[in-house]
Order: sequence, then C-alpha cells, then structure tokens
Amino acid sequence: MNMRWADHVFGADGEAADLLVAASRVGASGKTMYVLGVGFDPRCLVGLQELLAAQGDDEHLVVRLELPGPTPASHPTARAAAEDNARSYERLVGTQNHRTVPFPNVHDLSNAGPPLAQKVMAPDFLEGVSHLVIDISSLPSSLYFPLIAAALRANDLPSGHDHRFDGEIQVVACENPEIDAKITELSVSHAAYVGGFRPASRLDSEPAGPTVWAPVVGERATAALRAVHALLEPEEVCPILPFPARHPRRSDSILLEHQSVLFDEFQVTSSNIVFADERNPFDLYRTLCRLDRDYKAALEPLGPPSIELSSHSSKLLSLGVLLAAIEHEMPLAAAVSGEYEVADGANLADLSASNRLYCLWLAGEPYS
Amino acid sequence: MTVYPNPFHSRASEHHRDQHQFVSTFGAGAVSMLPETLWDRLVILRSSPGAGKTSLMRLFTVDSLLWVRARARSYEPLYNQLVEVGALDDDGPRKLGVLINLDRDYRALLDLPLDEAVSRRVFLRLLDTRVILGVVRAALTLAGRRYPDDVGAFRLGLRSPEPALEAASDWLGGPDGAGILEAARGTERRVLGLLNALLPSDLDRQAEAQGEIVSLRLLAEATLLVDGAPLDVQPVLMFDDGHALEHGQRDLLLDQLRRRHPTLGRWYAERFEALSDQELMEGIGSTGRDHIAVNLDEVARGQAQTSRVRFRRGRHDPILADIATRRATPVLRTYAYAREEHDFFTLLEAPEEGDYVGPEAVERVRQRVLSTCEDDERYRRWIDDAAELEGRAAAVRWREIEVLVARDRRREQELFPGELTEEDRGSRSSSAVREGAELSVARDLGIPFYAGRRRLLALGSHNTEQFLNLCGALFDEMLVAVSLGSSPYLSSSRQDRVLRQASEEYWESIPRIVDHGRDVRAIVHHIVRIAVAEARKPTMPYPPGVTGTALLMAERDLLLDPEFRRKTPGADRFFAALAAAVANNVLAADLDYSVKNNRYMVLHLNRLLCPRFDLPLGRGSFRERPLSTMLRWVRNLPPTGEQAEIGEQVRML
Repeated sequence: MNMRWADHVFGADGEAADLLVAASRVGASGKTMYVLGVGFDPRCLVGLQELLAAQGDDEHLVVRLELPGPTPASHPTARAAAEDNARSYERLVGTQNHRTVPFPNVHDLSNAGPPLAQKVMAPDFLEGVSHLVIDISSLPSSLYFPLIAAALRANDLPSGHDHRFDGEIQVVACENPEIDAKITELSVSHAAYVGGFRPASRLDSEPAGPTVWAPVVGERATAALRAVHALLEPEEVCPILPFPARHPRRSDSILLEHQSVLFDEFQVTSSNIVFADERNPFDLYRTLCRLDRDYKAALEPLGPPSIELSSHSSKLLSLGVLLAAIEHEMPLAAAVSGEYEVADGANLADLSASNRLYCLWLAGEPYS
Repeated sequence: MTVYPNPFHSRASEHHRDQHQFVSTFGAGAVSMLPETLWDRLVILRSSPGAGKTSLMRLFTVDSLLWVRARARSYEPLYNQLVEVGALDDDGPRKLGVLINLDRDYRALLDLPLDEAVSRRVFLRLLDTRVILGVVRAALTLAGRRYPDDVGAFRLGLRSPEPALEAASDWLGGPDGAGILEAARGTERRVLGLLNALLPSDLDRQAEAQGEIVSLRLLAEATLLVDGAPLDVQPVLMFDDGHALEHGQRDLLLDQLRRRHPTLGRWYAERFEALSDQELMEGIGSTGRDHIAVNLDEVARGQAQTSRVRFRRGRHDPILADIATRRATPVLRTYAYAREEHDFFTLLEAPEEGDYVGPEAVERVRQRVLSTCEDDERYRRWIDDAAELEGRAAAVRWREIEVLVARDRRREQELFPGELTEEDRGSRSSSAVREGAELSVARDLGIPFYAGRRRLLALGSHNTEQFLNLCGALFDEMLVAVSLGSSPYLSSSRQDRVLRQASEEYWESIPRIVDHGRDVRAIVHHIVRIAVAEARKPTMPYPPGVTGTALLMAERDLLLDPEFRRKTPGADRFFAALAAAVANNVLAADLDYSVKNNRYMVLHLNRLLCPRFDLPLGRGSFRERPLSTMLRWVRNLPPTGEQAEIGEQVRML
C-alpha cells in the first residue's frame, strides 16, 4: 500500500520549534506565514511564541483567522479568557506584519472552512510566502480541516498553475489533556459534512453501498457521536480509541464513559474497536488507510462502500484523521459546537505546564 | 454471562432499510394524529425533536406500504388505519409516497461564494433532481423493479401535449428513466463539486435552473409508466427535516408546495426550530385554504388547535405504550424464561404495590398530624379512618389530612361547625391533592414515587423519543436481572432510581444540546424555585404542585415586539432562550390560557425534569410572573452554583 506520508517529519516540544525554524530556512527568498486563531483557549499563542522566540528577527506574516465572537450567554470564564488572549496576541505581534481574516458570513458554522481556505490560499494572499504554518491549537476542526486540505491541494497542483503553492507546509498543535478535560462543547445538536469532504457516495443518482463510520472517540463526546451517527446512518461503526496513551487507562475510561452509546445504541462489537497512538497522528493515519483498504475490499460486493470519518478527540489525533481523509478521499463529518463551557473554578492558564507543542511537516523539502 | 442487546437503545442503529423492524414497532394509533385531509393540499407537520414526524412520513413510503400490504394479517390494525386514510386498498398501495430529506446539502449552498440568485437556482435544481429521482425509485419499487438497474423501464407519460410540460420534462432529462438519471447525476456531481471547492480555481459559478420546482407541475400532470404500464397511484412528496433549510429556502419551497396541485400529495415536516423565534412565539398551527398545519406536540397533548385532526386527548399514552410493548415483548420472550411475564409494563411495579413504609414511618407522619389536630373533634372521623390504614396508604392519607386540616382552618368559620365526614374529605380532596400528598410522603420518607406504567408514560412528556429512552433505561435494569438468571420484574425503588438518574442526565444535557442552553437552564431553575416555594405552603394551594409559570398574553405581545426587545436590556436574550426551550421541548407553551379574566401563555416544564427536583407529574398548576421578573432570570444569571442552590431548596422542603 503506497502512502503519501509513509515517511514523515514530525516533532514535539523542542524538536517542533526546530522544525519550524528549519522549514523557514528552506525558501531563501520567501517569508513565513503563520496562520492561527485566537480564542479563549490558552494554547492559542504557544506556537507563535515559540516561533518568534526562535526567529524574532526574520520577516513573518501572522494571519489571525477571526473566530465567531462570544454571545451574551457565553460562559463568563470563556469570555474573559478570550479577551485576555486577544490582548496577549496584540502585544505579541506588535512589531510583526499581521493581518486578520474576518470570519465568513455563513448560515452554518460548519460551512465557514471552505471560504476561509479560499481566501487564505488565494495567490495574492500568499504572495512572497514560502513557508506556511497552520496553528490549529485554537481553531475548530470545521476551519482547519478545509484549510489544511486546501494547502495540500494547492501544493499538489501542477507547476505553472495559478493557484499552486510550492512551499513548505507545516501544521502546529499545542496539546494539553488537562486543559481539554476542563472544556466542554455546548449546543451540539447536529452534525454536517466538513466542506471539501462531502461524499459522492451519498448522491441519489449514484448506486448506494454500505457506510462504515470510524469516529475517533474522546472524552465527553456523547452528544457529538449521536449527532454524527444520525447524519451518517452507518451500517458498521469502528470506534477508534487512544492507545498507547500518556495515561494507559485512558481508552478504558473513554470506553466506560461511552459504553451505552457505543454498544447499546450503535451496536458496536468489540472486534470493531481500533486503537491508535495518542501522540502520533501518523499512526492513526496508517491505521485508517488500512481500514479503508480492507473494508473496501470486503464490502465491495454489497455496493460501493463509503468509509467515513469524524474526530471527537485531541487535535493531534484529528490530524491523523485528516491526512487519511485527504489521501483516500474519505468523507469527514463533524458536530459543530456553538459554545464552550469551562469547568467551574478552572483557570486554564494555570494548567499550561502540561502543554506540549507538536509540529507536522506535511509538504515541501522533506518530500521532494 | 451473555450480553443482551436493549431493543430501546438499539433503535439508533436500526437501518432505514429495515422495513420489518420499522413496521413491527410502529404504533398504529399514530396514524390518527394526521389531519383528515391529506392528499389534495399541502400538509405541514411541526413538532419538537423526537415527536415522530419522520416515522409518520416513512409509513407512507412505497416500501412501507408494500410491506404492510403483504402482511396485512400480521399488521391488521395498521393495515386498517392505512386503508381508512386511503393509502392502501385490497389491490395494494394507492399512494406513491416519496420521502425527501431536506437535511442534505441544501443549506450549505447558501454559503458558497455565489450570488443569491444563482444560489437559489442551484437549490431549486438540486431539489428538482432529488424529487424526480425519488419518484423514479419509488415507481420502480412499486412495480417490483430495481433502482438504478431497471431505470430504463420507467417513463413519464404526459397527459396533454403542453409545451410547458414538455419543456419541464426536457429540463429533467426527458421522459425516460435513463435520461432522468443521467441528468440527475450531472446536476448532483456539479453541486458536489461546488460544495467541495477549497481553492478559488475549483469553483464553477455557472448554474442553469428554472425559477421553480418544475417536477411538481410535471408530476401533477403526468402518468407514471413502468414497462409501458401506467401506475394507478397518486404521487405523494413528503419533505422531511425542513428545519435544516435556511429561512429563505424554506419559504421558497413552502410557497411552491402551496400552489394548487390537487393530484399531487405534498407533505412537509419540520421541527419548531425552523420557525424564527418570532414565529415560534407568535404561535403555530394555522390552517389556510391551501394548507393544513398540524402541531404534533399539541395533538399528542390533546390540545390540537385545528378541528381537522381526529386525535383526542388521552389517546397518545396508549400509542406510546403500544410502541414500547412492541419493542420489548419479543425480546423479553427470547431472553427470559418461558414462565416469565413478557409484557413490559406488567414487569414494572407500581409504587403503591411495594411495601416500603414500615409502621415507624407511618407513626412519624401520624404523630406530626395529630400534634396539630388530635384534640379537635371536628376531624375525629378522618383520624379514625386513617388509623385503619397501613403502610404507604396510611402515610399518604395522614399527609392528605394534614393538608385538608390546614385548609379547613383557613376557611371562614361555619355557623354550626360539626364533625367532618368521609364524604367531606372526598369532596374537599381530589386526586391531585392525593398525588401531592404521595409525593410529599415519598420525599419525606425516601420511598419511591417515579415508577409504574402511569408515571413512566407521564415522564415521556408526550415525546416518543424521550419516552423510549426512559423505557431503554428501565430495560437495562431488566437485562441485568435476566443476565443473572433472575426475574426481570423491576421494583418501584429501582425504577425510581433509574428514572431520577435519567432526569439528572436530561438536566445536565441541556447546555450541551440546546441552543442558549445556559439561559434555558436559568429559566427552568426559576420555575423550579417557584415550585419549591409553593410546595412549602401547608395548604397545598395548587395541587399536586406547581410545574410551570405563565406570562400575560399582553406581555408576551410586548416580548414579540422587536422594538421593545431592542430597548429593553435582557429581552432579546430571554426571548431567544424561551424560543429555544420551547423548540426543544424543555418547556411546553400553551397560548391563550384563560384564568380570572386574564389570558396567559403558560409554560410547563418537560416532565422529565420533575424527578430531578422532586416535582409532581400532573400538568396544570402554574404561578404567573411579570415579564420584568422573567427578564432578570437570564440577565442576572450567575456563572455557577445554580444546581447547588436548587438542590439545597429541595432538601429544605
């Protein structure tokens, strides 16, 4: 099985910062464009701080993707944290060249990704850029899935194409399970396919085959799992659990938390459970590539099968999902949350000691 | 130990193609929730989530009708109902029901970088494509052919050589099935390409389309032919999940569906959330000459505002019970020993059947009551009669007497006060007082209250989904017993524990699944505060207890006024939260409720919230509050602590 990222470049903590610097040095004349979102999550600025600390003198373009603002009903802690982060961001980019891309005027939050991606990947926006960094630490998957997919698609265009981006593409994520544990998604009532990942198999004019759904399951995902399940109506469900993991019993806890929804409601059989390394998105990517190959071979006689994905866990694992979806054109669904709640009494900034920065180098010099 | 699937939980994984499971668990009585006039005008079905709109529509699809017709004897009640409404007869289906799901791509079209007119044309074109493909598929199914393999056998026969109809037919790919399929494939692929465009170069901004859904006119005027033979059935287009459309799309579709096509059945279903907050709070259920709108939640509660619905109050609970029985009985028969009882509800102990109240507990209640009236000869008969009782019945009676004595002492003194008789007790008490007394005793003594068939049905709050979830939670307990080789019979204390847990989970889930969830919880929290304050009153003035609040209709009109909301701090926020609560069935709103020369909008809690706060299940009691007070409920929302506060109040009762 040929896999685009069978060999890959991936680093954590100090290595992640080194990779950022190394990629920025590849294009002699170009500059680094660092794309991020600044929300209530205290991890939103960690990657940018690392880059600026390592390369303060170089020319950068910092692009802030505007996120939907808090509403009067938003949790006060989240509102206050978002305001703090916005001030910190202003201080951090004070002397840097920076731009803000406004949040698209969309009817449905799940559709905001493609127009944002089209804007960021427009040739005039990328003029002079040879190194693109997408920091997903504070971005919702409905935004960063299409954005990363667009960047890779632009990288794959033939030479001479107006929209080709022939530079280095890296993705940065700051992970912190302790912070994740304090944040709950609210108002999760429906799911949708992520822009750019809608399936051709769902067309009425195409022959229908069985649907296999592989959700990456994390903590407090019941509402989102139900919403995605209602959208996909799969014949088969293969939950993906994090193992090995920093806490060895994490997958057990997740299974216990979701046993009713997985086993009673979705009728998952234990042989369908898949495990993937919590700290290595490429492990999940490989697992999903194999899953796609095996299920398609087995189910083909029943009609063209569709292996569909969703991620309800960490940012890092969601990248494994994304890479597999891009490579095998697997549909991606997500339950979009309008609001977030921070656990009572939690001060997210105090938990930053457990932050870990990861960098995935997805296209450019290492693969040429 | 064997693992047994739970037939209530597994319904999420029952695939839409599983006709047997669907038809065999459908509650036949639900057909009568539909209006009498179904086939010659637009029928709009609205409800909160989980009320059963999709199931009702799915029953009329060709697949379901064929299934029921082929097994008429097994599904006799359902078959008879379908014959009665004209969907079936001895020869087979009389209607060609086509279910069209609107929760697929349509709304996303508006978020493409296309101008509005183009986006609208793409929407209509895609809808046209899915309508005609749905009809082709259903026609082939009815004729026993396969889609898409036999698509060449289908043909649209135009009854009159009208140029407009021929143009419409050409537009959809011509009269032949193969041409229709090819045109549809082209349209769907182009739309998918637009939706998946991630780079500006991927966008194809051209879109050809008509300004209307031409398939409606075409289907109204054409004959459906398979292998050259006409199908003698009326096409019925059933548009489901209309709430997934954007408002402009929805209005456009409804406008087209309202147009007069008496030979084409048109149904449209949506959740309340499809309505703007304004429309929702203005009230729904309007019926015009060109359409009938049915509020299924009101129909289930027996409060339908249209006389064209045959459904009457009290008929919904038997339907829910029927559905639960259909799900549970075959499974119980398989799992449990042959000698066990297999009826789901018979396996649920009613609270009064259990022996949970010992003599000491009764004595404590008795002493409390006697301390206030033992020496008063006026209540001698009541006291003597209560002394004859034992256990739970005795405790409840003593509490009832306590309330009646407190009330009697507040009445104006009679001219010749005498001993009160049992008849007096009967006339001064009521089933509501007795339920309030029972709840009060259950709370004081820690004995089960939320248990048994009647209360389980009440906790369903007339919502099928909610009711089946509760049945599933109880069935889990039965399965534990079955797995251990014991009887699945559930004591009322176990039921009470399970149902309280389900109530707690529902309360906790509100912020996660309902828009403006924190504000919705704040509204619930304040209604509970009112209920708690009322429950403390010794005379139980609103038996069995308060579970709702009310707003003067005049103040509701103020709230509906955008100008008022703009000027009044907190009004917009309260309005949005109230609309979300009603749309999601957290609160049930009854408009124009008349009390003491005033008219109110009454807001009742979803009954599933009642166990969480030890509230009664009888609906009807409420205490009104002014709008200014209600606005403060969300404006002064504390960041945390609401649960602890309420829990404390309930404990203090």
